[in-house]
Amino acid sequence: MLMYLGAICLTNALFVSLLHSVAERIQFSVGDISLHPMNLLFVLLFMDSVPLYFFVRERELARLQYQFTLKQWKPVVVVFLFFIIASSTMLIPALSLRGNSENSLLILDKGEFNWDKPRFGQYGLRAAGMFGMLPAYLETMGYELKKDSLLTGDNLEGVKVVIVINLNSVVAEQEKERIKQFVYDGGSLLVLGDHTDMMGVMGPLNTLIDFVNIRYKFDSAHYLKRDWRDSFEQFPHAIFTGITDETDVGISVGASLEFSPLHAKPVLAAKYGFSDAGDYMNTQNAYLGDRRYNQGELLGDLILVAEAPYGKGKVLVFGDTSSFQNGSLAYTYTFVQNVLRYLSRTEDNFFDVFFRTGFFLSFLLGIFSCFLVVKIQYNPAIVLWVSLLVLSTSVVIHTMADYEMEIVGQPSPIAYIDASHLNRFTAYGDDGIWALTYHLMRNNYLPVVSRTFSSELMEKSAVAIFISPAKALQASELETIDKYIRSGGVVIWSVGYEEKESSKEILTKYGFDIDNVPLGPIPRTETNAGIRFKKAWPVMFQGSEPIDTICTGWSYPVIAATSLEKGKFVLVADAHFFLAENLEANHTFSKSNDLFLSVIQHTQRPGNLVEQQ
Amino acid sequence: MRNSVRNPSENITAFLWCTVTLLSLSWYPLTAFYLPTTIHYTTPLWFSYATLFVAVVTGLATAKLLVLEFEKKTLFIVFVASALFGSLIPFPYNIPALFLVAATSLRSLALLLKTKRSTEMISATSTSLFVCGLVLGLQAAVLPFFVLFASRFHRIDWLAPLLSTLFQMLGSSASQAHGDLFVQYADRVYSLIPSWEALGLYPALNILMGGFLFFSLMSMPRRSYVFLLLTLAIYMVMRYIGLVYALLELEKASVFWRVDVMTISILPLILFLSVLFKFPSREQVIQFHFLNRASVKPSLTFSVLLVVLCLSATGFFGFVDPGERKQGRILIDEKHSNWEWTTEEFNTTWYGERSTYNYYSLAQFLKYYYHVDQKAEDITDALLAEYDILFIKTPTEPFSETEIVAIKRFVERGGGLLLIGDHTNVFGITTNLNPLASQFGAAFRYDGQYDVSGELSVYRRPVVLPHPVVQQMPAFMFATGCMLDAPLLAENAIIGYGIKSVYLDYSRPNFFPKDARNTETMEFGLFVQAAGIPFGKGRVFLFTDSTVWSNFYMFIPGKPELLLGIMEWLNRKNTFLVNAKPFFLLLTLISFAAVLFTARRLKKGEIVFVSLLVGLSFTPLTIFALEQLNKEAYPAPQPHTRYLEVNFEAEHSDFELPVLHTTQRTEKSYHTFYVWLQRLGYVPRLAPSFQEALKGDVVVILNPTQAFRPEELHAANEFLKRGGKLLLLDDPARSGHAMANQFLAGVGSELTMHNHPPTPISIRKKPDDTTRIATYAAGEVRGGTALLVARGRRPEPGESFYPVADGHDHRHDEHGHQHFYPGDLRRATPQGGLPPVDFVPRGSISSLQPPIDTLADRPIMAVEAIGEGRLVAAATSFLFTDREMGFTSTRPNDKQRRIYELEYWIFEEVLGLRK
Repeated sequence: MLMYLGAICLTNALFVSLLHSVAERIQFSVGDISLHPMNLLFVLLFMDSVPLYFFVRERELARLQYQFTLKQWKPVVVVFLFFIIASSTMLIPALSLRGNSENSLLILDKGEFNWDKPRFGQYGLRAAGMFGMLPAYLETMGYELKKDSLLTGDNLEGVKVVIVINLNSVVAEQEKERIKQFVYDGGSLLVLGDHTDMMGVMGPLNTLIDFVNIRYKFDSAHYLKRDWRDSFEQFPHAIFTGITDETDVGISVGASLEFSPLHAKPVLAAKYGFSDAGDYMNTQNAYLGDRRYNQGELLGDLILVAEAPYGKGKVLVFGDTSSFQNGSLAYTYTFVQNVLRYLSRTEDNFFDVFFRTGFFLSFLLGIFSCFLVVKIQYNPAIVLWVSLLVLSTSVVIHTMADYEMEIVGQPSPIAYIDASHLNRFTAYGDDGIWALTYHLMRNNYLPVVSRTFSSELMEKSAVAIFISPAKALQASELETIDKYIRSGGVVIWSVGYEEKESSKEILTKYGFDIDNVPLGPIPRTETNAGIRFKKAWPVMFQGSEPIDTICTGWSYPVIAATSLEKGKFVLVADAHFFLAENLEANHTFSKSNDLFLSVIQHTQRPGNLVEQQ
Repeated sequence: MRNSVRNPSENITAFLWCTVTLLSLSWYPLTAFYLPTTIHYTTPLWFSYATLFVAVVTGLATAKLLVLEFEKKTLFIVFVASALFGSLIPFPYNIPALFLVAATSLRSLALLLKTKRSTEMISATSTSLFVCGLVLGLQAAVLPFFVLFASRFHRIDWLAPLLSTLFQMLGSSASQAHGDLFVQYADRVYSLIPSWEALGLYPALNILMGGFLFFSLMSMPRRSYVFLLLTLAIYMVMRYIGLVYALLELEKASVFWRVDVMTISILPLILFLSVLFKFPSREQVIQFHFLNRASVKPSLTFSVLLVVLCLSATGFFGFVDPGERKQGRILIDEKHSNWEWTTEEFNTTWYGERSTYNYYSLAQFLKYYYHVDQKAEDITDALLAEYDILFIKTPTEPFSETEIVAIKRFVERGGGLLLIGDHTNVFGITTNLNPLASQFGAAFRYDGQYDVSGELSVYRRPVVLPHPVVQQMPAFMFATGCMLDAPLLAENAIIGYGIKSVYLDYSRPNFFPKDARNTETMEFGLFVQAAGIPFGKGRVFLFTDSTVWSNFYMFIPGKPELLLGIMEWLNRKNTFLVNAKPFFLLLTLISFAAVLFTARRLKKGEIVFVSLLVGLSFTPLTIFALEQLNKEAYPAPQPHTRYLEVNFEAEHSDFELPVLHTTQRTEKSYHTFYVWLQRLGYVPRLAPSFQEALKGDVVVILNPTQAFRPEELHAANEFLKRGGKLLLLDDPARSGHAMANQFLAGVGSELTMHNHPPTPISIRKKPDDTTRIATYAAGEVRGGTALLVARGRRPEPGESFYPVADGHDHRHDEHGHQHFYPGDLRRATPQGGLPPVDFVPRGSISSLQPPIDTLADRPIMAVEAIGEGRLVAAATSFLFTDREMGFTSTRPNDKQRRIYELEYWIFEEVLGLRK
């Protein structure tokens, strides 16, 4: 046994020592494919499995009996039940979001940030402002937000969560003591910081939270794979309930954190990423390092979010502010809601206590039952069968934990953007919808990108936008859309001839089709509405309902709408119409932006009328 | 207790599957069907050699299962047949025969040796080589059929629903529509086209062939064949899924074709095959041997059928109806095309893009060989009756129904029709061509064609049975065309390999697809790029890339040869032999079935021996005969009107033209200089050797870097004496004029070239020209009659220039030759001081402050009469590079116009070529 363990250790040590040089060598050989050392970790799986194979083969497999008879049901049931109970504990994080919560938040309005929103006259990916849209989203979630540049005893009264963002000056000792006491008494502190001591925020933030032993490092936690693809390690936590995609967490490049394991715990780590050392000489670019992995920099397992309990309260620290910024909120609204719901919870609810206790008991019970099974009758077939059962049950239980955004207040109309049908757009590229979300924000809409088809969310939205879905809608979804339109909703469907296969049913339902006449990019001078298209096709009408041609290009109808009871279905025969390449680039803006808003404004749904600037 | 004692045949099985798999993989780089064709990519042939070697080593295990016993006669026969095949069929298709030659040679050696141990070793090696040769031979035999299939069939639309389901089962968001597969990863939806090539049909087919051969040799049950097919199908689907995940992870579409990825993804198959298909142990194997006369004597029926199969299959792929030659009257349709005009003269006064995206040179060139008319009229029966070939290029207007009917009738009656399309339906070309092409069962595709790596693709004609159209054609660079859907029985003039098809994007300029270099939405591998379709008594030829004959490419090697090849093929009326192709196909199928049937009555040894004998002897002889027949039937046409040919010598010169890749270094490219000769009515040509160049009227030597041999100098002298014209252009930075002076002295000239440091100079004609051209680099030419002089000048304020060194630098070109390129030096300004030019040799830059040492003229070009000829030497070749002259589509500024005028003056006046 020891020999095999030794072999595995040696193998791993050898691998790690050679990792960088091997990676460089392979990179040289493979040329155009970009590799980093962590791409090679899978090799360990094979290397370690060799001694493991010999170990199992020599010591274990030869003795195993693989037959399983029904007479052996008792241990199966025991083990299965244990795992079911254990699996149920996965619900804890999700259920712990339920229960009573207080809705008063206080933002310390002091630090390196602003409340700008996307506004007319400023265009481009970087023209989103910072936190200007956050209050509106928070209000939608039912929170009451207060801002104050000083923490006093009075303004903390009735507040459940204090939010500190990019604090750039050390808080006074009294103020700090007040915060400590606030947390100790059951309040929550949410701290958002940024990378490489940008604008001098590292020191003040570290001073503020030193009572929970969490610190910002002078670095940037940098991704190895673009946009943190598959790079996050989400520890079981309430804030990740319903989060399935890295984009929905919204972390970009922030600082990594360090903490004392005795006092704090990691919440979100970057499995694949590196700690890019900051450079105070780089004054032009926020003290960032070279943004490339260099040997010697910490590789993997960077802490991006950490949490520490303090008294009855808790402190949640983010190394990056992006999740809460305007540019991300369309994607991160669920995550933001989770964070605030978690922090504003008043006390442990019944489910939480029940499941925590259940988990502990089932763990003890499980160990005991496993011991009994092994003692009485060791049969690998049992393990195999039980494992399969447990796996499938766990998946089912896990899916039960999903939940959706709750719309409580509605100060601004919501624009629902569907991302649940393999819609052909990205978040921030040329083919991204950032320009669309910015423009919706400019017009006081709250864009919400939904990765699951949510009828509840759609019902509360003023407009639902579907861009070039590659996956056909189910009958029930079509029915939901129809109900939504008839009740006054506006559905805007953007698709071209080449992508229409998955949209066939809904187009047919509303009497539309798209002709195979490529109109390509139509300049604004060639459309009657003075807007431009990227890849347009003519709309064809087949139904009996009256059709309203909203825009023609080269005399072909390219945007048309049909009214159904109180609402409208609008077809934009250009799959690229709402993408950044058509709407907005740095410093330029297309009038195409305005047209769809005017469509929405003419509907009868309450809350749709927005002020056009 | 589990029995841990393993059957010894398990290991042998694993080795044999390893052999089969490695042999199958070895073809991948050898045929390069899926690898980039650009010269910037080096095909890893070493991989093939390594896999072949390892396959032979692992194949040594076959000696445990198979015993091959030859008698001397049979051994000799197989040796001779293999040697014949190996010598007549070029590499790499002769590899199976080379293996058999090696196997039989070793076996002969084993017979001579007395030591038992060495005999065993040699016999085992011989057996391995023999079996490997058989596997490779079978794989090579199915290769033409695979090429035919793979060039026509790409998409597997019916697989998309299955793949979508599998991806969903694996937890990915996936969907499908219209046969496309959509997989979401992060925030992007990837659109993939499930295709035979992405699935790995080629290696799978090879493994299947190898497996079948082993199964038949080892008398495996019939169900094994079906199971092997199923196993491969399932594995390839799983492999595809793995590749898609690799694509998502690495964001490189090259995972579908890369040799390393292919190898890594195929090797695990060995494990599965070894577990699922175990070969019987030695006792269970039926031995085959050719010991006595009775067993060697093949069945006559089987032999005859095999001969028929060989002849018919080879005939199907290689026979082309010689046809009946017509008068060569060509009509170029100008009514339907507002692109690549043939009527707008390419002259010395009209510049810009329209002047070079123009077929004027093509039309003029064809007029030297054929009777050519260009007409912008409706196409009618009456009009077509006067012509033999209708030339339709890049139609931007649709053809009317009556025109289509007339054209179809014209072809049926024996006319030739050439249809030239282009990429991505640009200008609606594909839309306008397809109603016409569909009359003959073909269609131009709405895609762009690229090398798999995204570069312009290079096509080299097949080494075996090239179509007559390409038999004279050297390596040919495409300039982004489209693909062709051609009928199965069409003549495959060009089956492109290592290329990809990317669907157009109507949102982009000229509908070029976005990110064609790395898009995953592609089909790749083998495609028909040019096809001939016999129809009635006439013929239709479809070509997919109009740009290759634009004025700027017209006389780049490969282009005129292809054009004339097509015209010669079209200038034939079909004879009764036109039906030979379907006949051969039918005969192939029938004889193949009959061969299978009769083989049942024969022993394995007899089958193998007779198949080898017939296959190795008849196939190369038939191929050889067919190639000769095609050469005889379709010789290169001779011009009826003499034209003036300016040959650019490539053997000793150092310059670039866009022959196999676009010219990246403008300071080394003379493309514009080359093409501008067409404006004077000359035909420029790149001659691969000096001797070849001397066959033209004018020879241009550009920046010689290789020494001339005495016989070449003598031939040059003779060329000049009998009235030839020779222009020697050199740059002082190249080699200090060493090679130029060696040449001048060698041909008996009194001219000499001398170096001068790079300084701002102005050039003018001598004696009294007031037009000056400002430049930097020129040497000096002494002797003869000076025609061009240079003098120092002060740089203009803020003017920048390229300092030129007078020695070699230490850089190497792609061939390993050392060169010095003036433009490689970093820009410097007279005011800015010396930049860090670390690669410039010590002391090579004389000064950045130009020494205006003298205002006296120095001669930089001179002419000398030698015999009846003229020798012109100019020490200012840099002036004629693309850097100074601009590109072929440039709208020239004043300076560039002066350089153009200078070029025209040199050729027309100095060399005396004015008509």
